[in-house]
Amino acid sequence: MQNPAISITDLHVSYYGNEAIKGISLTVDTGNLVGIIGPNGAGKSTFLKAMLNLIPTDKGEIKMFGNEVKEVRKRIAYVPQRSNIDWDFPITVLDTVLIGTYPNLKLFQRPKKTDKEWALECLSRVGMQDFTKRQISELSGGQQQRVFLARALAQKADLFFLDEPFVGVDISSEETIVHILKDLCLQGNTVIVVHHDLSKANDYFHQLILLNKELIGFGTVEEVFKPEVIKKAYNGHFAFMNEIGVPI
Amino acid sequence: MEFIEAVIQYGFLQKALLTSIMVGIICGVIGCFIILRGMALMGDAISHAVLPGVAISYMLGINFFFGAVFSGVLTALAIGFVTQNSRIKHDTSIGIMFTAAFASGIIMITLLKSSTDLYHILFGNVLAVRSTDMWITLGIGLIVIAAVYLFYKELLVTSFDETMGAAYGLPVRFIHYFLMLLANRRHCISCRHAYYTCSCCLSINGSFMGNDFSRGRDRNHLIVCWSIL
Repeated sequence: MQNPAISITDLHVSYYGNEAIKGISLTVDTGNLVGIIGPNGAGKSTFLKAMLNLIPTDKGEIKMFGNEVKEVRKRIAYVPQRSNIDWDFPITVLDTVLIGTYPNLKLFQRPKKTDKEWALECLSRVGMQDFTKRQISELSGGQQQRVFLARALAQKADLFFLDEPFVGVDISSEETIVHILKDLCLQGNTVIVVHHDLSKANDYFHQLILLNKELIGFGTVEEVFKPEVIKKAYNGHFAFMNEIGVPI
Repeated sequence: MEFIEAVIQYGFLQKALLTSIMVGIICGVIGCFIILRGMALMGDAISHAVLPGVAISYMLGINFFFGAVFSGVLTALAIGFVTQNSRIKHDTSIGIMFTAAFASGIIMITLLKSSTDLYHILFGNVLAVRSTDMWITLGIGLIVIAAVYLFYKELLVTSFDETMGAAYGLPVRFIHYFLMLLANRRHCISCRHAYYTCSCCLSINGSFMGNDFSRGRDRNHLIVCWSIL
């Protein structure tokens, strides 16, 4: 029996005394493309960061591939929210992707020619091979997101975490990204995506985690996309629910 | 031309020139990272924070250098500690700590009523550089540059995207303090004899120009070194 990619038991997280995540337990099997959805302030990004042990947790156990998170860090790639990046940083597209090879390099070791070739290959997978010399602020939102996806690919990870990758991204970039994420899952990787827009969720993901501080629903898209489940998370936003085709 | 003749003629000018060049290079190399991490104020803070250390070492009758390093390191660590363990923002934490350190330094100096004017420490005198000072500058400069060279990857990742660094297991806090220490080293040597408060201008303005002019990082450091020279 293969270990699940992620298994979480009774996770609690609080920010300065306010509980942001209350008692979440779930198991994600490998090869799944999982969306984390929920209303604003539901703790989606917090949940993601807590899973990666980037913020302290109050209680709960997180295992990845049956191990502690700190033992499998090199198998994890994380793509931050676009707003968290300093786009004026003096770095080119190629160097950004090359950073993705750093986790697999030893201390004092510099990226070699093969690492550069690998970074270029990752860039061409996201269709950004013609922009290698550009400074990262000279790209559109979608191109920036693709570069960061290329950086995650360069990490050769088994588990990918993306925080709001579709915010401010043009539709063709969005399609490219979704296509690559689906490919990754077919190759046996596991991908977790924080997503705020319910309307496309059913096309994009295999499984959904519906959050509003606590776990409202978890399962296949069909299981989660039920009126009573959605209603519980989006308490009161009925007009919005009509728009996305959930009958009230 | 006159200047060049003077440099050839007077030993103290040669030392001053060499030391300034070294200080310029060191400030530029580390200043880049300081700027990119949004810690520009930090340089200013550290150069002011050495004052109480100078006063204390005067009281104890030991070399200014040790006191300066001590109080500088202490302030840098305190700033880092406050930022990471409270809701206080980084710039506020810098403001609190360095004004406190500076004020306590002023108070100590006033109470000491020393015959030597300790305020000179704040501005330094590049022409008063001694040979030992020059060698200390060289030594510490080499250490700082070697550290930046060896830990370049780690410094780059944590400056650019700290969360990614943390996600793949880099000790980001440790690296943060490590850079603070390097910056402090740099300041103590540059401040000591060259220009106390001026050294922060050097590193910050110079690096800023460098960052503006260059797109890629590799050129960045070179440009900064040049602009400071």
